[in-house]
Amino acid sequence: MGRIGRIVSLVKKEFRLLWADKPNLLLAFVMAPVIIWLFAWMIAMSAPVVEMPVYVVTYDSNSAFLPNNTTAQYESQYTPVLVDAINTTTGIKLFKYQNATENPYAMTEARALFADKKITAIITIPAEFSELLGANLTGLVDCMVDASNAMNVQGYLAKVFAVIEKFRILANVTQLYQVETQLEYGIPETYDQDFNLSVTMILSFIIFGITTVLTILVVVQEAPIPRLLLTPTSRSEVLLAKYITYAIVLNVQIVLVLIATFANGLYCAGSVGDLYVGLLLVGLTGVALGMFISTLSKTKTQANQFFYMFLILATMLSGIFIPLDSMPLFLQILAYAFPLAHGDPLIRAVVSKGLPLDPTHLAWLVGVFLGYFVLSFIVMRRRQEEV
Amino acid sequence: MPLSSLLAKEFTQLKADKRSLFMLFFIPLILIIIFGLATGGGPGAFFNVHVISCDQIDDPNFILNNETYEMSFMGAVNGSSSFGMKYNNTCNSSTQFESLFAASNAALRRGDIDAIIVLPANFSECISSKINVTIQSYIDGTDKTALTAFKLAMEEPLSLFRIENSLVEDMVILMPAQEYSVPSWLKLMLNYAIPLLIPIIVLGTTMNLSALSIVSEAPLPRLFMTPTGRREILTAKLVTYSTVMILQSIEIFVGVVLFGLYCAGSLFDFFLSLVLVGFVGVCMGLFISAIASTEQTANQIYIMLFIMITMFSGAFIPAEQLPAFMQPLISVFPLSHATPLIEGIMFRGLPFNLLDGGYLLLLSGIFVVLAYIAFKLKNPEV
Repeated sequence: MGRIGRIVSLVKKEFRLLWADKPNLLLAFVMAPVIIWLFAWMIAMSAPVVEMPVYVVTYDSNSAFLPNNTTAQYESQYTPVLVDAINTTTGIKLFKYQNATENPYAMTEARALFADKKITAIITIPAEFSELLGANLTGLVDCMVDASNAMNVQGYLAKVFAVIEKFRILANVTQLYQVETQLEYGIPETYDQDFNLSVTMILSFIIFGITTVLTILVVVQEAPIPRLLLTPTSRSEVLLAKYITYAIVLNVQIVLVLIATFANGLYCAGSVGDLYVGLLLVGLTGVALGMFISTLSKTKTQANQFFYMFLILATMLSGIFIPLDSMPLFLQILAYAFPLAHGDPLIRAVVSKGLPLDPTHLAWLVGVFLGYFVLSFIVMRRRQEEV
Repeated sequence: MPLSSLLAKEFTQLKADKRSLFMLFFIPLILIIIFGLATGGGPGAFFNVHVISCDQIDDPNFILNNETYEMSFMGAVNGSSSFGMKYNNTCNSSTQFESLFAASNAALRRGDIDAIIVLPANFSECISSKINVTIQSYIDGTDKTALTAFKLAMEEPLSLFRIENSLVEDMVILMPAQEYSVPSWLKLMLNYAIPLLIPIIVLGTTMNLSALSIVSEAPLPRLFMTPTGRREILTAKLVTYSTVMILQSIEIFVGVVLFGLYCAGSLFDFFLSLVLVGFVGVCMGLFISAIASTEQTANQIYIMLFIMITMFSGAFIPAEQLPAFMQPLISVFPLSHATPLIEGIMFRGLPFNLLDGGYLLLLSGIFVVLAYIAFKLKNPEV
């Protein structure tokens, strides 16, 4: 049997092994589309806007002394306008309104509720607020927002600023400016914004994760390999057959993932072909990394440990959660050795901006794939097998 | 066989595989070092913008062309802490504007910048006449939070601009103060990432530790032929892996402290939370190992559970946005208790929350019971 014939037979054997391992088959073809469906379902079921409870404490009717005016003033005509602005702004709800002139313990009560996570912000209207605005001067509003979860702070502040915008309109105070915003490369209104923006972020992550986990044990767990090496079959042929098998599996996986993603309403501004090629390259680096781990490990436990380490490292250094440019230079270089640092921007650019595949990221992905590919062959050749 | 003998056997087994033993402590170490270094930098500029000013172009609605405020506005954007890499371009004609805008739009598409701000031809004229002026901005919509972030970021240069030009008449300024936040002189990104990422690392590490503990043990079927009970075997494994988990948690704890942990509450409570999360991980790992028929299956279930835990962690979709019937589902996953527990201790200085801690213990108990049932029903072949 010639070299090609041997490889074809080995590929057939790999498919038979895969077919016999039903849970693995399930992982290979069902898991990724199921995650996409589940994700889409979760987003569809989630509430678009969660109302943020705020406590308003006003000192506006307390005595105020304006500059050059020693007469005490007790105006508070702008306070109800601000309360109206809160009541009419989307995403924010008035938990309680207290006048500190009447209830001196209003702030104490508000702070207790704040510490107890019952409210998300305390808006304080100071004593001279209405007097200053009435005199065409600048009015200040104080606001304390819960910053214990950094992911929410921006949203909270945006809602409070939206109240101020509303107040400016309702109180008819001069705005002087108006910022009109227009989203470029946004998702068309007929598509689900949240699903599209989130799924773009996880596409490369899913393909990379599933392909790596599928391949980490293919060498380390295969008992007949030592006996196979007694035949004319070489180590390179054994490994190459595994690569061919899992590359074919990867193509089917990508088709299934794309079907699940488009069926749930993915808006792809660029070419589907580019998206396919991008995912294929990310998947191939996952296959090569998995094979490298599998050849490197002496036991399945080690393969498992290596996989976990590489997965967390690849995720942390992907730029998805922590921006790459905020990392030290040597970590940025290390990040480039992992596929997600290239896969995520590559796929995001195709899907969201309709750009062609970025040649730099593409070259890096090919380089990373070849690196792991060559390493896996080197380690396989040096591997000691006991019959 | 007494429990002490089984424990001795488990520890001997662990010690025998030197490479795996090394990996057990090397992996958390390397992860915490990379985590510490990756999140050690402060947050960068929020937005890289191009500002294009058309203020020098004549506006037919105004008799005299005026560009008094153009440079002042650009200076305010330049002086703002929210904006990075700014290119200010002024144009004298609509043709020049079109070419500048096309170049900026190409930069926006490439991802070189995040937004374009356009000052209209009547900018200074309107401000001088106290007429509301519209500033147009074009934002990269591929980032989910870009619009909100941009609107917030613009408040700073606009306020600076008004103050600098004494245009404070009728102005309403919101003075935001962030409570329970990480002090600005500390490592912000690292500390804000800890409540989510550290439990993920601890859970992953400990699940990884015990997920193969039963399924990969070859002499187990022979052990069943002795009077040793399955409960004793499982207890020995639970004790052994919990001991290793505590050592791993100490390693992770020391790592985050060395990298600049900010903890308003008690450090012991923080450590206790890590140990509890780790304990859930060990119990989940044992459950996986008990139900899996092969190591490959155990690996697959481990990965599936790990993905589910990450997906339902609140990082992608905040838990409070999910409908009420899905909330119990979220509660099944340990991160829905671990993250608020650690956040409370770290940022609010609260004592250890017994409710969240109790949930974590309950989860551990459920997984141990399930592992025991599965282990009892397991039919290993000698």
